[in-house]
Amino acid sequence: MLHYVDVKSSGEVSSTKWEEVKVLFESDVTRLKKDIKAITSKDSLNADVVAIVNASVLTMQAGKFESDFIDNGILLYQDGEISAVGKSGSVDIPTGAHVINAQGGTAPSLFWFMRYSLTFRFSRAYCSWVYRRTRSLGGVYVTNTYHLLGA
Amino acid sequence: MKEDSRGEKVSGGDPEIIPYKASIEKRLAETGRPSTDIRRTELADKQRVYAFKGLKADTTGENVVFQAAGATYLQKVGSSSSPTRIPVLDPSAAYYSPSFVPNTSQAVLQAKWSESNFTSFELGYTETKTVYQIVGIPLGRYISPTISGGSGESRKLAFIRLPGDPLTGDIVETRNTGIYVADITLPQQNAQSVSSVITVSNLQLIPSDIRLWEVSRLSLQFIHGSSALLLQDYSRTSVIELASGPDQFGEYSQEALATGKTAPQVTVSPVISNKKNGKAGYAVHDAAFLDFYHVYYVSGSNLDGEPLRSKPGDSTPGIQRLSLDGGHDLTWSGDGKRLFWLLGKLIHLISITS
Repeated sequence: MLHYVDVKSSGEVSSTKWEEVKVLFESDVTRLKKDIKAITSKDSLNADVVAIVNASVLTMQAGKFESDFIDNGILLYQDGEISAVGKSGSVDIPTGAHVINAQGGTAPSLFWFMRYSLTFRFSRAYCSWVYRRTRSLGGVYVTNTYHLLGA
Repeated sequence: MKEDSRGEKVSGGDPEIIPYKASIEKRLAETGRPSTDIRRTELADKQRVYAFKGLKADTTGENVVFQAAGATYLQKVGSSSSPTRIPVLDPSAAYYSPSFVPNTSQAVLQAKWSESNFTSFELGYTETKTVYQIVGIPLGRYISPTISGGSGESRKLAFIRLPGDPLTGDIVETRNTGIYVADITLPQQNAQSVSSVITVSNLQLIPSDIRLWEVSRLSLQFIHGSSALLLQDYSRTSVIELASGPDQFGEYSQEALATGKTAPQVTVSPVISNKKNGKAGYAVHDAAFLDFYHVYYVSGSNLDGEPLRSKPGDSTPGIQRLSLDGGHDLTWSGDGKRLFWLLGKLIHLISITS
């Protein structure tokens, strides 16, 4: 990036200088991971794993409903990201994981973002944001997030 | 159409069908699929900050402080080292409005935000990593705290009280907004500190016509020791005379040094003292302002008494555009020889030579 400044003939103003500043900050994912570790017992193995079973899952892998839709599927979350998606029986649920039965409802992805926002309810704009973010992460699509509220 | 007896247009008969054929060609583009995998960036433990605010420089312009994502940092100008975080009492809290304390060993005053207790102030020494909490300030939302210059430990503290903010609303602590000044005694750096608390005294509201509606433009700074306050608010910089005290109505003398026509931020420095009618006053030595997202400079001798403006054909005489891509958060070094501004991940500076 080139920056310059015109110098007056009087020489009153010298040239512009600039320097890059590199600052890092702790992301929300990191913070949520710490929160999870803080509230889960160290003795309980896989306590930070969440499994949503008996769920209708629409992955965005191929872009076709027929191949992307999974009935009676399982969604596995760990460390703030989706670790496994598949048909019931094809995904091993770790011992000690927190299991949620979706009872055929659509399973949400980006569970942590939803947890964070549960108290605010979901606006249309927010659901749209989740949809776009989910797609960008190559995850699954949430069709009816209100199912989670009753879960 | 035809006209009736009153000259109004009415239907001239039954509508007729005009037959036509339309050729519609659909040219659907292939759906774009992003090839960049942002998962690693999104799920990284740490992410980079690309936007800063609250830029302030020290007296000589060798160091600057700023806020980045709720944390305050000190950057040594001209060095390749990364910015260092200003020492704080609660690293998990959000800090803002950092400013250097003149004539100290890199002491930085800053504000800490709490959603329940609102603003509190801390004084951090970046070399010794010592942090002092400033107490004696009532509950409220405050911004832009600053400590006066001078050689001794007895100084003045000033800050701006806000009527509300978008997160906590404007229901509680909305009274008596404006500029406050208090007495403060800095801790002796050589002596062993026996207390980590600094208590302020003689806190008083300074009546002014401060424009509080654009908080991001607010800035407060002592000049000439603690004799006057340089107030920067929306599109204006003015001086509030403290040394002469209030008049018979309790009002302090406030004089606008420079205003902008469309510029949201007008900065002035240094402010030199002169004598007008036997009375001490202040004048503009150099001015810089933000107009249409660009940074402009003008020497104080070129000011024509009109608001600062940058449009071609109607601009302040002798202005120079300093930025190429734009900028924000203009600030001067204490001696007025360096001007800084921010743009994205870059800090810009220019030396105004004598």
